[in-house]
Amino acid sequence: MNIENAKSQMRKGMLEYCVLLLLKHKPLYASDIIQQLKNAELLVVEGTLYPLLTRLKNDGLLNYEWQESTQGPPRKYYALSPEGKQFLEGLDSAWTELSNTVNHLKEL
Amino acid sequence: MKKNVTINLSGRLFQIDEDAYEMLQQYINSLHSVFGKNEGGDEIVSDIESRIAELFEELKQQGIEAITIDHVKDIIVRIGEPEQLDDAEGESNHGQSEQSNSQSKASKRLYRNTDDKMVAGVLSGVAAYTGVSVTLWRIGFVLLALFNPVNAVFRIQHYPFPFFMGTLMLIAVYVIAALALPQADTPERQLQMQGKAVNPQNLANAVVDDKQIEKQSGVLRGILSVLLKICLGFVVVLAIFVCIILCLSFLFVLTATVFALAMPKFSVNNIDLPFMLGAMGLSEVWTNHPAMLICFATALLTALFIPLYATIHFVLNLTKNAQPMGTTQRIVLILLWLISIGCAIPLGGSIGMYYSHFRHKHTAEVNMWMTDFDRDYLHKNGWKLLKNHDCDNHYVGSGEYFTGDTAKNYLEVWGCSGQQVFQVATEIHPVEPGRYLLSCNARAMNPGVYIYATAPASNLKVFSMVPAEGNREGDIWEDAKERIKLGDVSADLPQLKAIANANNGKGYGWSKVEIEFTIDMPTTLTYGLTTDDSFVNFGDAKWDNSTRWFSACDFKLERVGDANED
Repeated sequence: MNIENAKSQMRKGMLEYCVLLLLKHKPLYASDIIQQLKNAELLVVEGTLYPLLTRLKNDGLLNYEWQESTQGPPRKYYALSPEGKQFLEGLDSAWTELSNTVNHLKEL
Repeated sequence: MKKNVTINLSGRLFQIDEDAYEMLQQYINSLHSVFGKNEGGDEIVSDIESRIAELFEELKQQGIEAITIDHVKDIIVRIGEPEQLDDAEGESNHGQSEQSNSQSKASKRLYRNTDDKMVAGVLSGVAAYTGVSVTLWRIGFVLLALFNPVNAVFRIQHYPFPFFMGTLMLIAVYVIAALALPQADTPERQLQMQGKAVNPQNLANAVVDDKQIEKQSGVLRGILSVLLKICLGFVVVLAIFVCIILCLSFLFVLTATVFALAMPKFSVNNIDLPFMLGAMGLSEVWTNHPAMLICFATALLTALFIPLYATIHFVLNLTKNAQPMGTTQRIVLILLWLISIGCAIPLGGSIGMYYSHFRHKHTAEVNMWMTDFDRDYLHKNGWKLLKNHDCDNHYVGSGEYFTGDTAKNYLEVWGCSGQQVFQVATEIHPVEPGRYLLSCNARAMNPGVYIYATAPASNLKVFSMVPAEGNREGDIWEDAKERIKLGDVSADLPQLKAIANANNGKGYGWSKVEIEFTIDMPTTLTYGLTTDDSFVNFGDAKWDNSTRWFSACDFKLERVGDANED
């Protein structure tokens, strides 16, 4: 088990939460999300995002609507649904707990 | 320089190199095959497609007009291989799958490898499937074709070559495999054939390798391949020819059978049609097991018709008049063919047993092969066939009797060689002393045919030659004409007129032949008909070599007086 592998698994676990966080304030389309996640070095291969978005949408956590684009064809803009907001709150508290635990463990 | 195609990706048009297009196509196909099973799989793929379109668009804005294979490779690396993207169950075994991705062994599939083929690429495909070198397979195939153990079992007598049945079977297996196996014509199939995982990395390599292999074909390979194709073509043409011949002959037999059933007495050119079945030794089978014969004929016809159909289809396909057969159709035809062969062989075996039994029985009875009909005739008339050299197995004729009665049968021998040695005999025991008259009606093409009577105990051996008048006129005909001319008013008149009018008034060449002789003590008398010089042993009128035929019937032995009368 090498370090890269462990990191990638951590990132993968975080990905869902981060996507929901990105969508908390405003709707985004897939390439925006990819750009932001890449900047945060959370995404290695772009394709990972699409199955995730589709799954979240199918679970009712995300909605999307088509919006005209200034360049090229219309884009799919994803936004949080009410259930998604609730879900995000749940994840927020889980994250706070988790990070507290991790910080606590680090300070031991 | 590269060929370029225009593609429509998510509603945008892009110029893309052909190899790059092929790779992209494979990538999208493999995405479909990974995500297709999930809910919303098509949506994921179309989202990824629009992402690719976006990335292409960026390239375009950078001033790149044609997208190359390297661009596509970059994009595939960027978006990720399908196995990496499957997030549903990928989390627990992600590390493992990432490590083994590039070399992972997917299940192998058997294809025809048309990129490395001599004939149809079957052996090359088998080599890829088994992982054994194709050269070994080829050498093995040729050796097996030449020294197949089956060849020794089904060796045809006097056939000079060491290969036959086994070789044909092997070639048949090859042809079936060539028809049934799909071609590895896409990079995806080539990967499946080699047992490599279908992922963009491998696909890219496959697409690139493809180009290299094309450059590698050498002169020797080309010559070998052409030679093999010529051989195979020859075998195919031979097979088609044999098929056509067999088809025609079986259609003939079927027609004969149907005619024989429908009109037992129907005759063409004075040959009764059931004779055809009889001549082939099939009448016995037909009487006892008609269903078997019908099944056999049907199975055989099917087995012959399918390759014929396939060939016609193939030729039409070459001339662009027909679409290639679908896989289902191929499989159904091959199955049907195997079934009909499977039926025809055991049925043919049973029929063959009947035939040999039948033939054996007849041979045992008259010491030679002849038709049912001839055997019955000889038997009924008390004839024992003593000599039959070169008689072409024909002993009974009809249709040219002097009264014009076409149903009347008579002894008749004909043949092309003119070397026939024929002798029949009837034995009568005991014969009382007396004066006897042996008579018959006969005709012959040339001199040398005798009626005879012998009685060794009385030292008797007498002959009378059949007048050689051919198949026109003859004594009987002349006599009838004469009597009509003289104004015969007897009850025989209608008969005489029939004789005179036979063969459109030309007669058939028949004469009455007689011998008178004396028996002086009770003895066994043998009489008959012969053409055997060594038996006749006198005179100049030898059986002429040019003589082709003779006929005889109505043998009659009468006692006409006492022995001591003269």
